[in-house]
Amino acid sequence: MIKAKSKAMKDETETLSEADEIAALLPWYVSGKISTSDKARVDAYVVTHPEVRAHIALAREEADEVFNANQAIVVPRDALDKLRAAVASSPSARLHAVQATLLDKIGVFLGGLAPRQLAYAGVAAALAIAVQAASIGALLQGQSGTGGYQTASGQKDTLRSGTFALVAFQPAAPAGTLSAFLAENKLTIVEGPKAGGVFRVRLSDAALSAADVETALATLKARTDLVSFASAAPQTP
Amino acid sequence: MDHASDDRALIKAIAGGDAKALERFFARNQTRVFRYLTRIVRNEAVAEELMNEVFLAAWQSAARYEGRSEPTTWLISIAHNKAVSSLRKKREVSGYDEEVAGQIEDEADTPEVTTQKLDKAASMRAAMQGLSVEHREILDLVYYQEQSVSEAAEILSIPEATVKTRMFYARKKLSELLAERGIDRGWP
Repeated sequence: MIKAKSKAMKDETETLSEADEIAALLPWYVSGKISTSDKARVDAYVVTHPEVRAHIALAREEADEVFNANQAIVVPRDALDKLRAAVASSPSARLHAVQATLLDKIGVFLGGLAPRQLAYAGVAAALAIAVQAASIGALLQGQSGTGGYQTASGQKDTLRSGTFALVAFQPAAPAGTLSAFLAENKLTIVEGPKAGGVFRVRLSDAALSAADVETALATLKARTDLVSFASAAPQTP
Repeated sequence: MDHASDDRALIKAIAGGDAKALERFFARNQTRVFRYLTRIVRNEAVAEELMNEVFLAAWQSAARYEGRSEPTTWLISIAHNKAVSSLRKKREVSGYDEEVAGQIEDEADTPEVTTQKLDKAASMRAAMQGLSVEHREILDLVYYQEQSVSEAAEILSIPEATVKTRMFYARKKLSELLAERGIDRGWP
């Protein structure tokens, strides 16, 4: 067995004796993540100091216990869903990539146009923006107490009470159909769009059980013509 | 391809905005990250939140990964920073240092401890719980996460020599805690 030569070692900055230096390498000797030169150094030391084998056994014992303690920790089952929701509601590399690609394509498209065509393209783009604004406006106009779209201006309580989901809608979803679907299922859009076009939707005024949340999400996901993504949302926005 | 090469390819795809690649990367590494975080913060709910933050950070910073370190080391580095930040915030908010409190409690020879003396493995686990967060972390990095000296140094942002001595003192402290439980390991 190795005996520490110095009992005065108090912190991490003190110099180790040769025996302690070898002892310090043993964890990596056991894990196999040791440099060739350090492994050779330990191997050579063991030849002249066979008592070190007992210390190597101690390190293996520690490694086994650390492994066992880690094995007892189980990852939550819904971890991936939570990550999806977090990604959907945050600025992302994907969004930047999509924006960059779109800008590239627009640049190539515009670069190939004659001046008159360029003017027509500008009008078309303005029209597309107007149509999108009108769709959102229609949803806002169609807000009701039992479903639809609800703005969150200054109404923090409406953002926090109940059970929520993060939902992205199909870009081509007709506003009328979407509004009817939300009303029919008593769903209310309370916030959005966030980055990536994701909305925060109230599934219920009450705190739903996990099973009820799954059912509500399944209802959303089933409408693939209207919904492109749906996941449980955290309580606070 | 080996595990690291596969992860490098996934990180490259994530940098390009491939959400499915992020999910595959998550599936391959979530257990490692969750266990690492749980062992440090000692609270599974907090560890779960932090794990989300870790992979979200990976999603947002994949383009900056230069491939100089192993993907696992890169990921655990992010996890380390999240865990340290979380522990620091907790101390600032509550003013309560669980590390200190935990060590004080471990000095008491409760009936539970007396029972544990009968079981060496259980005593070892209990003694590990009595280590400081820095010592618990270095044991996990080396024995479970299988990080080399240089990789652990990168994760902890400390010199390689300090990695070795921190591990040395962690193990020394472990022997002391076991001795308090009636187990003489014969080292140091």
